[in-house]
Amino acid sequence: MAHLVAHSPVQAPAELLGVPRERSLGEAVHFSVAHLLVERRLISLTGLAVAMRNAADWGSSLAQTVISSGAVRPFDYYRAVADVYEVRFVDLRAEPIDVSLTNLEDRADYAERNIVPWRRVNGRLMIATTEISASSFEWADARFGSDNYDFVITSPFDILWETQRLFRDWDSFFAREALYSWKPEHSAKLTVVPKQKAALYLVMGGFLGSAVLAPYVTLVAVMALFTTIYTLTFVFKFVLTLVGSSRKADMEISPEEIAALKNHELPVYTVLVPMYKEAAVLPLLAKALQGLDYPPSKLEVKLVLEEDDTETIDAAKALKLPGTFEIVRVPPSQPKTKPKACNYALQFSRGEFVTIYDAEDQPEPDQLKKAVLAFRRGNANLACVQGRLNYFNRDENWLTQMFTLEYSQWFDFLLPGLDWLRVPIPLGGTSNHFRLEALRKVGAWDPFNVTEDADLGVRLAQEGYSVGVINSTTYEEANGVLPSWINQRSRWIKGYMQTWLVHMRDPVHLWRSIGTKGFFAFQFFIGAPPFTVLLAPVLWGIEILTWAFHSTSMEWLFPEPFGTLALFNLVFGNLFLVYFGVIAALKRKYYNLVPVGIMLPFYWVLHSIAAYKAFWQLVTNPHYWEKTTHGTSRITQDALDTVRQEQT
Amino acid sequence: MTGTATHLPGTSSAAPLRTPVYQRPGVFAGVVTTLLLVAQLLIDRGYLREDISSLRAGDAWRSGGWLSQVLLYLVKGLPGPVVQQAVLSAIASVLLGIGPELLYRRLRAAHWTAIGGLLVVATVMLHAATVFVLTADAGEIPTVLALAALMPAIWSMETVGDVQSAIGFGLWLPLLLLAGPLTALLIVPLTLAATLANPDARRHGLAFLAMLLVTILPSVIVAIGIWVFLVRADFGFADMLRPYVSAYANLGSGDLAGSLAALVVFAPIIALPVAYLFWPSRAGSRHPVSAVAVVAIPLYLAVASVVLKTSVLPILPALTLVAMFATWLALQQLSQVLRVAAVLLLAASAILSWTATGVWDNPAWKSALVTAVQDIARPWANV
Repeated sequence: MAHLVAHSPVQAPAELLGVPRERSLGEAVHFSVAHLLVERRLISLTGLAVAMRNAADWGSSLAQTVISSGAVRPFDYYRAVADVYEVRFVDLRAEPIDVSLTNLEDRADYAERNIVPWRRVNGRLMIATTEISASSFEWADARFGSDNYDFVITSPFDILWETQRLFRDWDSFFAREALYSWKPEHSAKLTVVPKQKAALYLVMGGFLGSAVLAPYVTLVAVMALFTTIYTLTFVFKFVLTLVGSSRKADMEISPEEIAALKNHELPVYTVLVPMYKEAAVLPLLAKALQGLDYPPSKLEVKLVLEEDDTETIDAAKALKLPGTFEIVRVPPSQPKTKPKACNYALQFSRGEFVTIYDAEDQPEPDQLKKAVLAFRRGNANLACVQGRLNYFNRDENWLTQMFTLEYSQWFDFLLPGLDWLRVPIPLGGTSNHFRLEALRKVGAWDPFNVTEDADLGVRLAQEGYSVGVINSTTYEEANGVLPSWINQRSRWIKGYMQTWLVHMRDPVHLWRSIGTKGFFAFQFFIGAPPFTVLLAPVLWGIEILTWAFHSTSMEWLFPEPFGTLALFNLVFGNLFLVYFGVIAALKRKYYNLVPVGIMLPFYWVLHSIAAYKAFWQLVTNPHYWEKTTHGTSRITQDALDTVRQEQT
Repeated sequence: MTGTATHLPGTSSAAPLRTPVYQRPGVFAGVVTTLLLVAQLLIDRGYLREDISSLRAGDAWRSGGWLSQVLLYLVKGLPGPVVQQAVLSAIASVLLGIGPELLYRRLRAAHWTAIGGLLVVATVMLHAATVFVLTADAGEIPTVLALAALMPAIWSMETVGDVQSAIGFGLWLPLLLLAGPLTALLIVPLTLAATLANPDARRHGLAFLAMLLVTILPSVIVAIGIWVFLVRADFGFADMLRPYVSAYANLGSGDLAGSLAALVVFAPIIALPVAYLFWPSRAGSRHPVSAVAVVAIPLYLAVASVVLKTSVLPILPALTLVAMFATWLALQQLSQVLRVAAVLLLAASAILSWTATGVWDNPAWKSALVTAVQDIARPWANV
């Protein structure tokens, strides 16, 4: 290895100054930078002392520590770095990268190592980086030869900005098409593949033919099938509720375990916050994320915003957030979905773990640490841990009360039940924490699936990964506005339909990859619910007509034993489903929701309305993302007022 | 793993108990085979089960024991009393055959030795009351099973206290409704007790209401279900209420002393849970509620069976006590001394149940049974 880079600092012009390789080693650079920062009064001695203590405690560099805490601006810090190295500092936004020097194959390195070829100056290649280390030399030597380049210094945010610009089209294409290119059979880009279309036509044709030839037998057979599906779905929910209600089903991480964690052993954590037109709730989100109990220097919060959403971008800038936060601008393209935005941002993520929060999310402060502990406790196949979701505005109106009961049942009983049974878990939309490596291996999210989270849970299981549920809650805003609720729910139901259709393209492969137990769990947890809510109004009508009003006109539809089974579903099935909904309030001691829970059947009617909208959209506009409007809650408004007052 | 295995019913290391029943000849298979054999011998000797007599007389529909009634309704459709007897005996044998298997597994999991566990199962199964309900009158089996199943539910509420315990307890209560009017009355005090077991319910009205609703809701749902199914079978609401009105509206003062005497004589094991309450134990290791339940519920049955107008067997309280006691043994970690005492008392209960004829007897049944056993023994004696 050469001991010196070609040029002497004294003789060469500033932009051509080389760096002796031995000077790149060690922490001396950071101490010199710190000295310079104090000298320039960019940080006080006390501030520096605090930063150095934190850097030691968190196991992070001084740069990461002072920037993430907002003590020094990135621009100032890296200008000082450049001065210490006696090389030029470049603002990549003012002096952009020469695209002809970049290589698509090195795209991941640019983001992860913060190093990128910049320009040729006087015929000599200049490489922009944030720190001139031995690994910088190794990386550059391998590509450009040992004496053919010099370094300039820039900030990581400049590199992020520039690589986003340079690879904009590629990254956008990758975010949209990667999964489809790799495993088209797992992508919802096509709602129904030709094979499924043929099967559908065959079934429909068979049904119509048999309905003409033997109408009585056909209708009885159909009703018998529906009744059986209903019963099995009920039984499955019963088992899940019973199993999930046990304390043993909870992956408990105690406060003592969290207290025993050493900050310097914590990994870098990426937090993705995909948002669209959420400027109003941004201050609340920023406050919640800044309240996370995790070393800021190891936190990488990416506000994933659509390029055309200038309102939210401007609002994010105006908040003057610390260096932990970055803005990722997603280029406009179809489908305009949250998973596509997340896939896009994933390409700039450097954490060992990554999680997603929605704009209105209020995670419990220790959630990231609990997730890290869960991953450490779990085996190598544990690819994801799901935090529980619940609502902070549960008592706002009847709809939010019902929604809270439903979420409590889902996240406190059903998902832990699935976890306990070791079957695929359809992930919740937010607060799912992934090993980044595993997430990338399975092709990340399907941008064409509108419940990409549920789909990802199934794909993880198919690839041999497992998912756990942790005892940490993220509080969200329950949708308390009926039209908005219908829109949101129709998207969820449509997504479940998409997910079922995608994975049932090859049922034998699905069965082989997730096992018999997993296969049936998939059918009754993901396939059956959209179907049953579509069917519910029909069955209610028939059964009420038949039994409640003593009408015998429809009895022929339910010969024994299906008549008894249908009656069992109507009475025991439905009433026990109400019971399961009601007891969901107990784990969280939401006692006031128990009496209200008796009204759950009215809430199910809304599900059926949303299901018909979902079904229509699945046919006409499958990839359309029904945007949920946040910030409508009075509690959110009050909290925003408080934050604004604090800021002023 | 603790200690070495002894041949007494004491502590030993818990055996791995995960082997499914069908993969090994277990207690279940042995018990079912034995019971079926005995039942068949009785049938062969022309003994007519009491429940079949009741079914033929048309009385079976008036008991309010809905589980028994559904079973009898199905059995009624079978041709002739011999087939009906055989099917009822088979169902009773399978139902009660599962109990000992579960009991044995739980005892082993609670660190009982294999011999200790088998002794408990054997003494329970050889009790005259057990043999009688299996071979002669299956109508009380739902009551016995419901109350034996109560023990894990109470135990879970007392020792774990999570939501699953509350659900389990709430889901168990409808069994009391289905078992008959005598046990249905227990739903009210047990619901209140379960509600008040929650510390929040003792402090806040809303929490009390919530816990009350959650506990009672399954029973209400089952009651609605019974009503709907009765309506479908062309019975009215009045038909549903009749057994309860009949039982509760005609209070009497029967032979209370005799009923209590039958309980104590046929099940002297009642002394053990009482002794347990006062036996020295480590702080926090005593679980009094379940021990009290083992004593109190059979006592209630003994009193209520004579005060209410019901047609339950006089040996039902004793049989219930035996079943609840055995379940309690499988849950409660008892000292070695108490375990030995438990086996001895169970053995005494079994012996007394066959010998003490002053408080309850059924000579016809016993005679048929003795003849059957003699018939089996004769060829062996000749050999």
